Amino acid sequence: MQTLASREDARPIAIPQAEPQPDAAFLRLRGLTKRYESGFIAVDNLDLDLPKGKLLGLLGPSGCGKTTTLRMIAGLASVTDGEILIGGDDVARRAPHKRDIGLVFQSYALFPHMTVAENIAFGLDMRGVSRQEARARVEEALEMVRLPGYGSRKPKEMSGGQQQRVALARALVIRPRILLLDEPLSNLDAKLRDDMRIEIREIQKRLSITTVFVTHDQVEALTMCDVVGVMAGGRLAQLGTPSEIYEKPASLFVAEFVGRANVIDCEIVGRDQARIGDQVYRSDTKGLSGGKAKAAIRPHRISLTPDRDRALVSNATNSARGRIARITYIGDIVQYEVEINGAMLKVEVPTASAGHGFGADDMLLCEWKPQDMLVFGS
Amino acid sequence: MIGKISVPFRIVVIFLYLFLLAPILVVLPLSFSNDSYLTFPPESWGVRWYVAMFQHAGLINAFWLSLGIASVVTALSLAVGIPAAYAIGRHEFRGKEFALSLFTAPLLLPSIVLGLAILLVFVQARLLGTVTGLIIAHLIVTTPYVVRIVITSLSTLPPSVEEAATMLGASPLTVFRRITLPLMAPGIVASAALSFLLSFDEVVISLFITGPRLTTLPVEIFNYVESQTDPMTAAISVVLVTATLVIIMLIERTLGLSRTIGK
Repeated sequence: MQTLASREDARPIAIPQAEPQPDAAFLRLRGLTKRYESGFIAVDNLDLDLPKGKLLGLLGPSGCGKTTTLRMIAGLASVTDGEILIGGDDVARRAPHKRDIGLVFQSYALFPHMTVAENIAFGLDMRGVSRQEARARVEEALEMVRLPGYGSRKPKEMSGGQQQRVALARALVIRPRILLLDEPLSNLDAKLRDDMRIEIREIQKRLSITTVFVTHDQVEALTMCDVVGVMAGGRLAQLGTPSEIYEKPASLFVAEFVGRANVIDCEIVGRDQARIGDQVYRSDTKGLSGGKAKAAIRPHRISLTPDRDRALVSNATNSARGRIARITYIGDIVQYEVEINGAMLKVEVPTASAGHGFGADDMLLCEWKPQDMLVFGS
Repeated sequence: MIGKISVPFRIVVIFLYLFLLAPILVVLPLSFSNDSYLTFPPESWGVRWYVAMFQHAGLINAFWLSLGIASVVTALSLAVGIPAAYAIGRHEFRGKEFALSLFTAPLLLPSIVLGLAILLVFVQARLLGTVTGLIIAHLIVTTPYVVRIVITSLSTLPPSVEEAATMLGASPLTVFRRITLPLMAPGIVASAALSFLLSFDEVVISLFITGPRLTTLPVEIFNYVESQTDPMTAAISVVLVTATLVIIMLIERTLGLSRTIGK
């Protein structure tokens, strides 16, 4: 704090950025690559555009390169090749402390020897903001994260959720050009995580700050983000809105990673025709008209009908006769494992509508719509 | 804090402490003996040997020399040890394991071996019986402790805390000054105190290097005890034990010993 200048600071209070055209990408990654000395490629020639004010979620299993991508944007990991453009300037080779990026760590990373107010004021101090203005901005930031009056506490005197909010306030008070969130919710318990998810999203929208959010949790990615990038093996497996990712997965990997899916070996026997065992189903073969393939059907997109009601089955849907092998009660839903044509299908039915009285070994009909059967060539 | 301790365990602990502290507890009454030779219990009481001690030119000179050397050694071992520990604890480089072994090997060697090795080198380098030689020899003993303790205190400090400061706009130097150094302070104070005490107490290696014109306090006491058996040694011991206790209590009061030495 001692280096805070007492002079009046000329910086305006409002976010001092010129608004680019609304649809122009504010964050652009061009051929971004990270290759380690061992030859391992963590991030492989990544291209990505994110419009201003949007929240991008990078989703993927551990080791997919999402955290490395975030650390390269932050400048904490060196860039082997490629460009990172923020509002038009390439910052790929700029020192991290000159990038003007806010970063919230999974572990919060608060400074344990400073009070909450000193933690938040640190970045303002580095920018030479006057003590008077800093005090006002710290108070404003604490109010934004709903912790007014907590400034004199030490981080260790606060709960995990409160520390997370302080970390968020500390990253935002400097009015960064971009906000990066590295699995910010994974150290919180389930209830708090739901609340923080909403809170972070609201703050992000209110400030309209371009944000990149790294997570391995698909619920976080789908519920919070404007755009989701699913990563695998250092590449983008798919980039799209949450509903595109969920409804129109570009690959089997995406279909299985985001949400649950039954994956069944099949053979494409014609355009939008897939054969499982000796039966042909209508499906979405994405333009393929032959070859071995795998079909993905989400468990809750399958409905169950008693076998005797076969006459009621609409011709517009696929149906398969099967035998219930196992029933699992999971609270909100009941999961049936149904054997059809030698394949095992998981079917999920809301508990409230599961009152059919199905039992193990009952024969029944599984039905699903052609567009819910996604076939990927192998 | 400490939870409930069972009674038998408590008794064991009390006996252990008695065993460890008994020699010191015997020395205390002995130092107030007015006899001319060591007997327990003393036949007459007084502060005669405390007075004698402060009038003993050899001891007093040796004390000032030891104090000076311990101060210089402490400063130098911090100056060498902190950057070394920071490099080893925070950076990846070729030969890192080797550097760590090199810096900490003297911890494992018996002092007598170390002393002999130093003697052989110092004869060639004409450092025997010099203050420079003593300082170098003591540094070999103290620096490994500084490196070890500072690495330990660094390892409890997650790199993300330093990275957070970087992201907020702090240059590497500012991060070190405002974040790393304050958070390492307990480890630095602990290693400084330990360096000082180690250097001040060092006998074995000093015996190889000191000569008739240059004697540190422990060596002087050692020589004195060899020729004399009077209660003055008890008086010296009491003064040294008290001084050590004061240093340790100061650390405890300002930082907390448990915090300084580790979790």
